[in-house]
Amino acid sequence: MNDHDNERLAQHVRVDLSEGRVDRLWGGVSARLGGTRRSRGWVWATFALGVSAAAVVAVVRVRGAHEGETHVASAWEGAQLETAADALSVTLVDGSSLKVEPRSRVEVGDRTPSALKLVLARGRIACDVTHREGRSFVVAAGGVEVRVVGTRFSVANEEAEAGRRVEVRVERGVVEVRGAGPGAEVERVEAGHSWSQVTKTEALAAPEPETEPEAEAEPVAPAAPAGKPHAHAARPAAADARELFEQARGQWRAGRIEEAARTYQALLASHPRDPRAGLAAFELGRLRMDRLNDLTGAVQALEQAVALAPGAELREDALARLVSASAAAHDRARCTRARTRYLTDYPSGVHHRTVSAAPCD
Amino acid sequence: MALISLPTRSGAGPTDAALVVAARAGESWAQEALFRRHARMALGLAHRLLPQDNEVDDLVQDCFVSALKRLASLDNPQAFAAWLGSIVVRAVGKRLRRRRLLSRLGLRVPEEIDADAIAAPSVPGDVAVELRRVYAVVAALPAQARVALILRRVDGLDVPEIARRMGLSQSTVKRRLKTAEEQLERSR
Repeated sequence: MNDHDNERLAQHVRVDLSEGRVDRLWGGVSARLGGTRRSRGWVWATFALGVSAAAVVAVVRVRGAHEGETHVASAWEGAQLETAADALSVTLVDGSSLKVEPRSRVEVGDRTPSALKLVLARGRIACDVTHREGRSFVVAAGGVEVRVVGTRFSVANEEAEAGRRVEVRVERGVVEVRGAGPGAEVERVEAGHSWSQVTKTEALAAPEPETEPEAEAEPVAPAAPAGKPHAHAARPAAADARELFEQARGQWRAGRIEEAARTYQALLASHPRDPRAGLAAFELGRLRMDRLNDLTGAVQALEQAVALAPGAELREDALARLVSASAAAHDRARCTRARTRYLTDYPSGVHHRTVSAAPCD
Repeated sequence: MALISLPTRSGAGPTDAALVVAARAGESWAQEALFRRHARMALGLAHRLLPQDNEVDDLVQDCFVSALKRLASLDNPQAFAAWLGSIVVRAVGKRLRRRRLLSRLGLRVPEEIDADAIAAPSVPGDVAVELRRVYAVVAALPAQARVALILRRVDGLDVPEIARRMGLSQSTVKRRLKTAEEQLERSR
């Protein structure tokens, strides 16, 4: 068959090229492009409130704003975010996002260009914090302080029978937690682990048996003395690995990218030895790199994928991606190491050209 | 659908190069114009490589987002279409490799292509036969051999162009085509 015949073949393949389909596709593309055009920087003046349609009953009160003030950032000093029956999502211009769960109250404490402190008076807040060199991000709850570099975590400050229970869950990265009370030590809590402490409402020191969490709260590890913090691995997932994997893929297809990433993360935390773990780590790395603009998280996931990859093809892809992600994150040492590994292990690999040209140096 | 105002100098509209330059400068109308000009090409190509696949829309969107974000790396702005085509081809290759892995892990049912449903209803008989013959074997081929075979047999590209689209050397493409053609021959 000559080329002329071949061209005829392509023309006779059945494809829907309707205007409606093209319009629909452009809608998706433009939405994703729009999300990348935000200017970046830790500027509260351009604080964006992303409130879902279901969350319109959220109450946002701002104290201390001066009328006519041009530097809007100051309006957020001492601000309170208080939710009623629905959650409130807040997106910062550097890509960090906060989700204030229903019946929660968060106050903006200290705020400078290099530091932000949120005080969780009650309820639960989930934070996905973009790493910024030299900036500190702290969430305080019931005397407990959670200090963040760049990660995804949640803090709950909820009523318990013996007082208030503060729980920190880390999905990605590492946080440092300083417990309440004098002499409290700082503990590092890593991805896939949580930390909790029950504090008396009036006094912090008196140890008592920890109560069961509220019905809607997540289960915790076996009881520990009240007032004494304890870290533990994330609870076993209710869903099995296959279910989580399919759930994540479904969320991805539906465009719920952050949910998909969280589900992959949950799979990795609860089923690290499952045959799907390597692929889950790889997909998580792709999502963070391509869709969530989280290069640090992507590098972490891809490192995991390379370690867990059950098949040579996936490992090769993961290693090549790791080179790109490290280069984009300006992590020269890691980029160079990954590049050397790739070129050594896959001298004729499909990504050879791209990896060789990666700007590690 | 958003209305776009194109700075036309003739009935043909601006060149791809002009659109790329404008899109690089952040002009959203130029991004949309590039998309609308080339969406059908990308969709058609993706469909031929992944027939009857419900992830084609997702893949084409990914490719356009990637291309429009990386316009700065396009050396020859007038070559946008070929560049986009190579992005689609490589994205399909990655997807096929991942699917084979999933199949090996028992996480995905092996792909089945209904070769009879590939051809449009009005297709001439000899073309339908040839399409059926090609698509009857591609599901069993390794990813690169499959992509190379479809680009050669269905899209009618020559070896140097296939090599450019796939990011491979011509000798590698020839080897992949040889594998695929042998399989095709055995199916006769």
